[in-house]
Amino acid sequence: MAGLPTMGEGATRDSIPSSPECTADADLVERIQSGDTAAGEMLYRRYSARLYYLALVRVRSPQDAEDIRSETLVRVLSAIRDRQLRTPAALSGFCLRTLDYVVLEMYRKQKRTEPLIEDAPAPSIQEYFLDDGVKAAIERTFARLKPRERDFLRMYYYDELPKEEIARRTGIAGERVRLLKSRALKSFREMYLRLGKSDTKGHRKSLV
Amino acid sequence: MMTHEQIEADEVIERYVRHQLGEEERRAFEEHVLDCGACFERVQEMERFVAGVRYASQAGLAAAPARRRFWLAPAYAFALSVLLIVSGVWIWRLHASASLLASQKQTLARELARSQAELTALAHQPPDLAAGPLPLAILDATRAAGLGTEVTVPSTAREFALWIQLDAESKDGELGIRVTDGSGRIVETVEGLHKNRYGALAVELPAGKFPQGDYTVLVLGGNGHRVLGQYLVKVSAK
Repeated sequence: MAGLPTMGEGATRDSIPSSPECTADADLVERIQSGDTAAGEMLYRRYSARLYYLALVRVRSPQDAEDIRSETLVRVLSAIRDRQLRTPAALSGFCLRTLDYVVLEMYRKQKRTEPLIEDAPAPSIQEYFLDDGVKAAIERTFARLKPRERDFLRMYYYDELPKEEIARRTGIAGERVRLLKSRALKSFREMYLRLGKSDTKGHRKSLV
Repeated sequence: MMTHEQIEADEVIERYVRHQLGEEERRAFEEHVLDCGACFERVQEMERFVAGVRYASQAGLAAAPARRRFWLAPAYAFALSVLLIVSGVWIWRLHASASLLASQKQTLARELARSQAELTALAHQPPDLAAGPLPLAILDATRAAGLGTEVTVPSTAREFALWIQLDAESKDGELGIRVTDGSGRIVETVEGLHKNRYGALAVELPAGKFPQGDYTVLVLGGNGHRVLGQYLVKVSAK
């Protein structure tokens, strides 16, 4: 079962490139409906990791996210084959609606079977992304920054203070905020990629 | 459908990761992410970055570090070196002093043993001061007044000696003698004398200064202000 792909293609670009995938949905739907089994595999490869991520965002549980992904893909594929998809070009919207429906069903089912159990607080989604590579990259990124810039990032992403308060405390003007974030992210990206090339022991966390 | 320009301009990816999008905007973006591999990559990258910043903040890496003083390490090393050298020198000198003291102690012990042996030998051997070529006059306070002690000084003698037996009760301390001739003229004064172990003063006088005649010897104490004894000496030639 495929998981979230590791960062690679498109990661070094600052601007977002246009994706050719949008125009391929209709063709993919048509091939599945015509009985092309390879098209079904292509659908799986394209949406598997993304559906898993979106499921994880919703349920914060890798096991549940895995179940939701599988169930969603089965239903989408079945719907396409049964020609229930009216607008083939809107495949992504259909996948998302199916995912939400599966999540809703899971919640209802859990509510029925475990009504008295108090759920533990769900972990932050970022916990699933924190691995040795991320730690090393952020440490080196921080080492490059000025103390004031480190303070800013902490207040912004960790303390989540309003921009006005951060500006008052750090003296960093609002118009510089975007530049600072962009520079820090770029530095982190470079470090993460560089460390990824030297990571031969597989210390990076996989989401599947 | 969201466009990349809109996503860039509105910082949609960051706001999505930080759960700051409204319901409609979030849904539109998620649809876009399902379709767009590049945006999905960017979302993951942002998740990692935010996770990293939060980790760094919790670990204290985001706090301003204490100002590093790069001169401290060499300074500490230098101070330590100086301390080691000074300690080494001090220990070496202490060792040398101890050796010297031990050597001096041995020398003093040997000298003390030798002195004790000499004292023991002297204690068993009565002084024979009259013997030898040095003319000697023994002056004793117990002699009757007016009777002097005669000493015969050969013409070849360069010196003669006085052995002045002091009163046993006289105190120790610095003493002196003053010798006057028959006319009362001071012939010789000797200061800085001390009683010897026989309770007497032994004084050597130049023979040349004492022609034949009668002389009075005053033993003085208290820095020359107090007369402890008076003796008569008659010098005769041979």
